[in-house]
Amino acid sequence: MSTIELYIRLESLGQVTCPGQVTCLPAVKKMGRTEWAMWANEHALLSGVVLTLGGVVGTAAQFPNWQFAAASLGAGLLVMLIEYPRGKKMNGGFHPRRGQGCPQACTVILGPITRNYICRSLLLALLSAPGYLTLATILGSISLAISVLFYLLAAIRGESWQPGHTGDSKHEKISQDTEPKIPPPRTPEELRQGSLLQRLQLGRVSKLIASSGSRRPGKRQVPLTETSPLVES
Amino acid sequence: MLKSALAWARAPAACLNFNLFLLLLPVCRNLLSVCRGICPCQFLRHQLDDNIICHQLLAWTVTLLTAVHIIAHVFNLERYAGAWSADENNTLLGALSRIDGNGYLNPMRNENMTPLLASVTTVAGITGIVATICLFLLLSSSMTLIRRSFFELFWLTHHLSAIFYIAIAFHGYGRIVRGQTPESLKNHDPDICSDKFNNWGSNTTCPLPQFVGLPPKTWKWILAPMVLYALERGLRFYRAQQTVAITRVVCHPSRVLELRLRKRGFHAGVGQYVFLCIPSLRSLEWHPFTLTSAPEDDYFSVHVRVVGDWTEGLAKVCGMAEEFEEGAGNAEGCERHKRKPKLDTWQLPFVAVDGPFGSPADAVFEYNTSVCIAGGIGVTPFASVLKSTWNRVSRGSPLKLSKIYLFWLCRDTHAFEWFSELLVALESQLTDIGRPETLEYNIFLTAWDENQALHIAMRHEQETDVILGTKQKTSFGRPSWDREFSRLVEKHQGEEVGVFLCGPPKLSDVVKKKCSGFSKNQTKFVFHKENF
Repeated sequence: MSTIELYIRLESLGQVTCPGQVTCLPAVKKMGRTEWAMWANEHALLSGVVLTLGGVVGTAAQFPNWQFAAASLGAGLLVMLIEYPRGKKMNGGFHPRRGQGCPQACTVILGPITRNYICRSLLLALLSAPGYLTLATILGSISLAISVLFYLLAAIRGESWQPGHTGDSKHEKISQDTEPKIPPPRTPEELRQGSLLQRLQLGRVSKLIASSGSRRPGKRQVPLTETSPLVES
Repeated sequence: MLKSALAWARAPAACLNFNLFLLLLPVCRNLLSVCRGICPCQFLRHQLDDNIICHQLLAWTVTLLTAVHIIAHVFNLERYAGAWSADENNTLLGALSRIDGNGYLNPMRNENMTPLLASVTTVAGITGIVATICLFLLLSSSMTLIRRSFFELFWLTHHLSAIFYIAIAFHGYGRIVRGQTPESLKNHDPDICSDKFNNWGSNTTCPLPQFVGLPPKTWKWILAPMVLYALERGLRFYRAQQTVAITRVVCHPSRVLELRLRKRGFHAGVGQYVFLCIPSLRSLEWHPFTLTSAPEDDYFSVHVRVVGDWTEGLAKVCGMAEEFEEGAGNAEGCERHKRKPKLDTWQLPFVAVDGPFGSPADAVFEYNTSVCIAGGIGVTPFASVLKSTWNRVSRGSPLKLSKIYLFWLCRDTHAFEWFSELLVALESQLTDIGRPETLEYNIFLTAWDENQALHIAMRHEQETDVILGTKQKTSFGRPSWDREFSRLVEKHQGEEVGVFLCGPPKLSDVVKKKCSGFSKNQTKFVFHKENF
């Protein structure tokens, strides 16, 4: 029996529940158009790192106008805090960075300032301002200005920052030792010898056989009586 | 004047020269294919398999060296500017800064020049800023999320590397770093004259020292790889102009499109890949696809899953728009396609093909026993391997490979029905010629739900597998690699077994560890990984 026939058969038996489960033909999600906000976020985070590094150099070496370097250091750290949590993609996909829960809470608190990309780009433009005044931080500021342009482009295309939740991630780490949540297919013999829950499953198997009208040749039909209100703990 | 900062800048610069020389080489695909062809031994060819990882490591090294170089030059420029300050008026630094004419030392020619101004008015400063900004853009667009989700953005932005290399080539053009000329050193010994800076030029023992800019060297390092890469792209352009005929378009379930193509002079090995471009769709986009046909076939084929803009456009220009409409049932789509009048050959789009390019799967037939492990879509290269194995076995060609194992792990077999059909066909064909033991496959479905489990339980006594229709039953969950490798060691004691993997990084890490863990007492598992 091909996979397609299997699924159609299950559908006719009324056993298919809802989209998203493996028994259904999965909804094919389009790999959509370019989301400028995603690139802007990566670039802004990188710019924040560069700005911070430049600020550290300018402040520690006490170059002339080192005060602007110190301001850029603070600005760079703030940029990193705002940009570290990744938002959801427009198609709902979510790829969080490691440990982004805490910075995400801070970003969410800022509300529309970070959610709306026009506000975010204005904030980043403001934070990049002190960096233009010293050599150590100018590269960080120029780079941040480019990410401001990307965010403006994202805003024009109607994108906005949406916080994701841990459950949304499709790439949660599954260790080699993680047990499957649902037991694998077991033969009727294994079900008969198994736990109460498995015997309940056997009852459902028998009902399926009876309702579909199919009989396994040469085998005794399993009685339809094995039901119990008890749920095995 | 600059103290140690000059050394801190020049040392990374020297390292950068070498790294930039190496950086372009791993991405010259044709060069690598040639090297793969002429390499005398498998060990050397194996080193070419990780070319992309090598390129990424070199890129990170370039980034780190650039950071050190820039920080050092910030110090240099600030110190050059500091040499003009009032504090340095009557000092050696002041004297050195005030040397006029062509033999000057301090590139900041007067006290009004600031480091910021110097960085935007000198060739070195401008090219440095341009190159660094390009590097930042390259870095941010090369992150995994952007590369995987928005490949065209990554690919187009990566062309900024041309500007990067040109900027770097001209970075030393201004000869901003200056050293004392040999003639001046004969007349003006720094050890003797450094204390007598007030009298320089007024006596013969210490005339004014003369300095000259050091010639740029970077262009000597990066010229050759730039030319090689330019030739590489030229070859790609030339190949793109050659005629490729689409001989057949096949519609498979789950939105999979098979294109069968022919091109004059095209010959591919097993598991190799090509880049396809549909100029009528998007002239700048090239997409890699593994070849699913065997080298013995008189065509070459690719299986394309229709999931995004480009692949939907491809389906449309091949006359398959309705079949792959979102929401359309795939089985009924294929049925509709069978009834619909097909496009004529001249109506099919012009396809540009670049390649074929070698891949680790080339080496499958170099071993007596090969183990192919595929995760999900990674099974595609092994289609070619299996077909070629069948061709060689059925024709009785001399074949070193006597046994091939396939481990296929996937959530479900959606989008891979075509491969399942291939397995069923191969299984029966090998049985027909009396060689069923050549291929042993193990399929692991890692996702199922209760209904499916029940349905499979009902059919467990059937001869063929419920899911795939093969004689070998499908297993559920992940394989126990310890058990599988122990079994392999038992059966192939003392042999060198090739292990080929095409799948996610986690699976790769696990299998690689098992290969090294179980390689002992003459039995050796040689790990090869496909890079997608």
